[in-house]
Amino acid sequence: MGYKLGQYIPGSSLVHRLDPRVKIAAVMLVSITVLRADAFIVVAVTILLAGITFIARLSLAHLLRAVRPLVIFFALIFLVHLFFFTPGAPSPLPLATYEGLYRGAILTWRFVFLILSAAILTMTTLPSELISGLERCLRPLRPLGIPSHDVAVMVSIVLRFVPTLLQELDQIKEAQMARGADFKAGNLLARMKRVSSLVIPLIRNSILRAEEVAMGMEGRGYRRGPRTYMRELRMTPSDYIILALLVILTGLGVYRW
Amino acid sequence: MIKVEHLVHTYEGGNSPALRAIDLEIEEGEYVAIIGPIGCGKTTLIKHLNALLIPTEGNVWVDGMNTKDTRLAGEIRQRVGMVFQNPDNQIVGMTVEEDVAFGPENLRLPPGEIRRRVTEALEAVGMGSYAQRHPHTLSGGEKRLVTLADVLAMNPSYIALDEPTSSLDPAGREMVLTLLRGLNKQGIAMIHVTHNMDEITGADRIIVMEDGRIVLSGTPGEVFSGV
Amino acid sequence: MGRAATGISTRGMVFAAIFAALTAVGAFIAIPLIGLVPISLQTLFVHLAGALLGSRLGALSQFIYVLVGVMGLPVFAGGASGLGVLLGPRGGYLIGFIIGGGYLTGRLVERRKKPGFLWIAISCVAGLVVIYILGVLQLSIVADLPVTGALAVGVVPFLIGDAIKIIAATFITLKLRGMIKV
Ligand SMILES: Nc1ncnc2c1ncn2[C@@H]1O[C@H](COP(=O)(O)OP(=O)(O)OP(=O)(O)O)[C@@H](O)[C@H]1O
Ligand SMILES: [Mg+2]
Repeated sequence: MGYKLGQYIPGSSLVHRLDPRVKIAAVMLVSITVLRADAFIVVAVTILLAGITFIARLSLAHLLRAVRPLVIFFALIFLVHLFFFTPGAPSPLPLATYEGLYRGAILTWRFVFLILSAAILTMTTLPSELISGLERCLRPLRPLGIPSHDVAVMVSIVLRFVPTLLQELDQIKEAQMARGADFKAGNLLARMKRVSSLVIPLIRNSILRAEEVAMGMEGRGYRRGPRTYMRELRMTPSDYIILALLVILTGLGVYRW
Repeated sequence: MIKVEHLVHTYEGGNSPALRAIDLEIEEGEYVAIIGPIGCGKTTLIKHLNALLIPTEGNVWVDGMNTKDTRLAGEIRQRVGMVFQNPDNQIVGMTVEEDVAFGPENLRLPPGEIRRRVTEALEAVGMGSYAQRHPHTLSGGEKRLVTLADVLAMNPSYIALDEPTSSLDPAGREMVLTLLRGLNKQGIAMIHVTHNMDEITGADRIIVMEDGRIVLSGTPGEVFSGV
Repeated sequence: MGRAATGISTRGMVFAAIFAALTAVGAFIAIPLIGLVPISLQTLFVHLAGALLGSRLGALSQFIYVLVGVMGLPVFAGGASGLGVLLGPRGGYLIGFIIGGGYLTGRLVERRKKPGFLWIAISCVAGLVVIYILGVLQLSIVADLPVTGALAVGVVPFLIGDAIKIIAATFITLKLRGMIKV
């Protein structure tokens, strides 16, 4: 089963050791900054990103892997801008312009950057740390009816069961192939039927599973509302310094808008 | 002491009661085995012991606390640990240690205490080196041991186990049984549901159920001579 | 299926979480369609979340799904993840999963005591329309495309697959809805 829980790359760099809350804040702040990027911000933030990548001891290959699923989409957007950007009067001919190149490049880069900054976060933070960080970050929203504790429990159940459901899917598939089902042939209707024969047992089992999981959780004293956590998060001086730097940088970036 | 008094349970939508007038007492430190044919109500009975089900009629008292009092559910569930039949659906943590921490976190213990209990519980079942493993990478037997650690971390006085050795090979079965006897020696009462006669020859008491009733109850000697 | 606006039970939470996990799994399953790009089963589970769980839990499950992806776990289509996906050109679809697929579809299904095939299918279509409206809006804004361009890139190629998935979702809902007591 090739599924990996997240993209965490073990390490002990400064970036790895930062408080997850600071890292989550960093991604949010930087994402806001680049929403309206000009050439100056592009250069500044790229340098920042390169620096963080270096400190975290991540390689270019790691970063490329994160962008790969969206490459075609990005390329499409870039090309559309390159060829169809028409300043002033609409031009009947799709011609590449420098203006189009510039806009397309900045736009595409912005998307790549958003993906990369989030990827660095998950590559340097354990999923369970991320959940702790998330739970703390959501606490201020509790008065709005978003119960951070329950959200954290649900996220953790998702991460716990995605690999299990994938395994189960494989088992169902194997069982049906053993009975002679061929998933690649036949007309549309036949394929739909076969997909249903895959999906229905999966959902049926999931429903039964959910009942048992809920029962098991209550049996271990779970009730909605506040709970304590084994994992403690403590902000160190370096966390505060980096957070302060980030806020200043974001302020400067937004000021340039 | 757990005291079950004239317990009747009818499931919503069920046409006949799953339990019909059960009377039972379980002492602290006792090893009680429950056997009986498929569908006779064993699982239903033990779900009543930690307030996962509420009696349709009659009462269940855990150390003097009535399971009908919903405010006491938390306290009751701390005292009576529950190990269900399918370990896969009891593990909710992303890693083994986080799963074991789930119960103590529900008890709102301080972080240091949770950490201590998790380490102890994993050591007790011999899974100390598995703390960081992801549940879906564990074997069935290992998952079973994790669910035992889950319960131990709650510091229970009683543990109810629903066929804890089902789907284990003979070696795994022997290992789990040895573990249960060891925990029982340390003073934790065991309520052990099983289909397998030879698992329970060492129990203090055997309870035989049939069609929602207790039909026989006594020491292994008494019960086996009566069969 | 209508529920008073009381708190959500543990069981409800777990159902929402498991359907969030199923939505993630759906993004990994692709059916090869004749002569077309393979379609992923992701939106099948989005429809099912709304149709089987109802508006509250359906929306909650999709919210959790999006949250898990935003946190960086590779659960979005193509194995993508991160805040970038939400803020990026495809983010509107994800918001649509919550509001359209989870909430609106669930809401419509809840309006009937025992909805039949047609009503469930209509509810799913309505949810899908919301998904596409939000998806196309964000796509055209974020990628700076005209709406017609966004439609061509972000809707048209998927319509056949969507029709198939809605029919499947409706059948599955009819078949399995009796199992869910939240
Ligand atoms: N959720 C439920 N709703 C309705 N009826 C149920 C439910 N759970 C169990 N029953 C019924 O209650 C009776 C007792 O079930 P229970 O699970 O307690 O049996 P058991 O002794 O544990 O059986 P087994 O040895 O097969 O595990 C059975 O007839 C069963 O069909
Ligand atoms: Mg049973």
